[in-house]
Amino acid sequence: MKMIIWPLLLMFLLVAPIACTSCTDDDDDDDNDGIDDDGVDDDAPDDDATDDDLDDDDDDTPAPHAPRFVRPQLPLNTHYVAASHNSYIWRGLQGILSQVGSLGLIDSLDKSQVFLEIDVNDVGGDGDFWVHHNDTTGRVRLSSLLRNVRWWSDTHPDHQPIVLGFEWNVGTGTEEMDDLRALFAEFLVAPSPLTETGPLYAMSDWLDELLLNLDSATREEIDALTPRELAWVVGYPTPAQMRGRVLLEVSSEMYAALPAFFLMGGDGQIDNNSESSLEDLTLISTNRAEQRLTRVYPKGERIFSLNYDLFTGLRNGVSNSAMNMQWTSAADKAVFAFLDEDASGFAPVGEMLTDDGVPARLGPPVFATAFTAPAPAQASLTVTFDDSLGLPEAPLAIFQAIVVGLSGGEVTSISAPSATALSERHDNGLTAVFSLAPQTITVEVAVEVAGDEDGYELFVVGPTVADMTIVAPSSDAGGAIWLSPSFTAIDLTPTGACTTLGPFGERLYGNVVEGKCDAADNPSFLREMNF
Amino acid sequence: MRTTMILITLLLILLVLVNGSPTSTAAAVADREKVSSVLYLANHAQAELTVTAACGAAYTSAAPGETAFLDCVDPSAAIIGVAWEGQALLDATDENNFLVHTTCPDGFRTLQGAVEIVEGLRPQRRDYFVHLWTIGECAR
Repeated sequence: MKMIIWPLLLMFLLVAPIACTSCTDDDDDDDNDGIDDDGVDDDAPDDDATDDDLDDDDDDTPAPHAPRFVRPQLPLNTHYVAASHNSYIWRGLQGILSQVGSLGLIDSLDKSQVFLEIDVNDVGGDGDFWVHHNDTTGRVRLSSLLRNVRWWSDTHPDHQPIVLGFEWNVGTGTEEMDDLRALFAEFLVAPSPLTETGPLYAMSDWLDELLLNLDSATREEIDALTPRELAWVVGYPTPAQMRGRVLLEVSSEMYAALPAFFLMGGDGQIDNNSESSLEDLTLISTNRAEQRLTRVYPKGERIFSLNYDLFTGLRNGVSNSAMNMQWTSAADKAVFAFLDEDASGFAPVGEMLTDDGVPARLGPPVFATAFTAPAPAQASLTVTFDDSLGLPEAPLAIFQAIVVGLSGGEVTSISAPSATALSERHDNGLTAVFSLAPQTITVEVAVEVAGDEDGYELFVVGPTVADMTIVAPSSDAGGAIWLSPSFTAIDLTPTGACTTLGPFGERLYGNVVEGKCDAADNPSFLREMNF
Repeated sequence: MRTTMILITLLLILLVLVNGSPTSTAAAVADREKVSSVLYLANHAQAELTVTAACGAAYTSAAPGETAFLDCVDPSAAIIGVAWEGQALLDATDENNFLVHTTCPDGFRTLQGAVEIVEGLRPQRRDYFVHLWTIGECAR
């Protein structure tokens, strides 16, 4: 038997690279000379051989200064999430020679993937569960995967937040949910050989921090909301708040039995809708409107995937395109745009390029501006709300004001006398969270800063924030900030320049042309704005 | 498209051959009885040390970040350690966290990690992963 298999395997290995010549296109000007020389920067690195600024614009113009690509103090749903699915399949051809186990998850985490999907397909009968891919692979215990995720978390303190998403195919009866709860308690809550407390980040952890000063009666109303409703009222936490933590994504049905967990894109339970879902604007927009996050499962880096375009989903508003990261070798994979130094695994949501009838706003909109203040100064904001954007009959409206000195200048205070101050965060500038009566139309906010030679950037975020105006000190100095196209810029002038990240996290610069950044084929980019 | 069809056809042929046909069942069982398990050694520890694993006469080593493997007839009597230092017995059939002490030039060091057992597609096929997560300092 082996005498037959090995020649076939050898033949397959010889043919596969030929079949994959279309996987990358270094000649997309279509003159079949193997060189992309059409002057359009639409692929990998520039090709004029004289451009030495490491961007892809072929114009030798270095960027004025390096922007921060990701602002980890903004809510999760203003970012794309680097995600993988089926990566518990470590390597091998699915159905024939695949190898499952924690190594696949560990590889994904090492490559800055922050969402991991796990297929639970059988009950173990001993309080455990079997993870496999519909009996086309070997199997591994869920407890073992959780044990090794905990080891990874413990040995990478302050890591980016990890989300474990479950395709749960074994029912949600009392026994199953009790067993699952026990596994989470053992591996994500209880002490481990290295740490005293587990990394699990529960919904209640976040609400406790965000709503610190909220009265108990309103807090009870908030606690009674479903995760989907919470997305409409309080939005999502920030990557910065979740550093070092592990989140769980479960279905609504599971959440009802295990209320300590987050519900994010999809419904926790994921249909393997594959690459066709990248173009399914109804699916995407419905999910986006309902939960302010969405996810699909393109085949991605999988062999025979024919390299379906990850960016199609991203451009159509998918915040979490969970790439299939099982692979047949140990070769490094490019993980486009998700290797930023500030928050690897996250990238700012880019322009919504579709016309799908859904406003191009992913839940909490972001209103952004900047002002000069080389010496102590005050800025005044008027924030306008529209309660129809949020949950009908919500118990309250919530917004956040975030002010960051571009050179680390101190932010003295953010106050809103007619609102209730709920909490403050002092990392990476100052973030102040306020609550209002849900029918409030406008609120005045005062910002005091100590001074920063490069100025201050300012963001206002909230599920029902509809508009913002600002009165700030004027100066001839001015400056520049970099914003996601999906942010609403206030009193800022676009320069036309843009920046994005390449396959290995390298920064690429270009210009905005017809709503796209020509620096690279990547919808996640920042625009330069003068103030 | 044509190339894709050829590849898919090849895969289907391979699938049939690997899973076996009814007439090859006896041979497959005989083959299976000869197959020992594979013991994987994954060195996740951040220490810049190469680790080793042995099983019977087989031996392998894994540099930091690497995963090595070896055939293993009796994974309950695996041996692990830091290269060129003392080794410790590890029962790789015990799927749990582990902690072993090994000798080193200045005394002892502690190796910690987790054993993972993977059930293969084929009946009775099991492989064993030794995930080594931390290597302690060598101390008296």
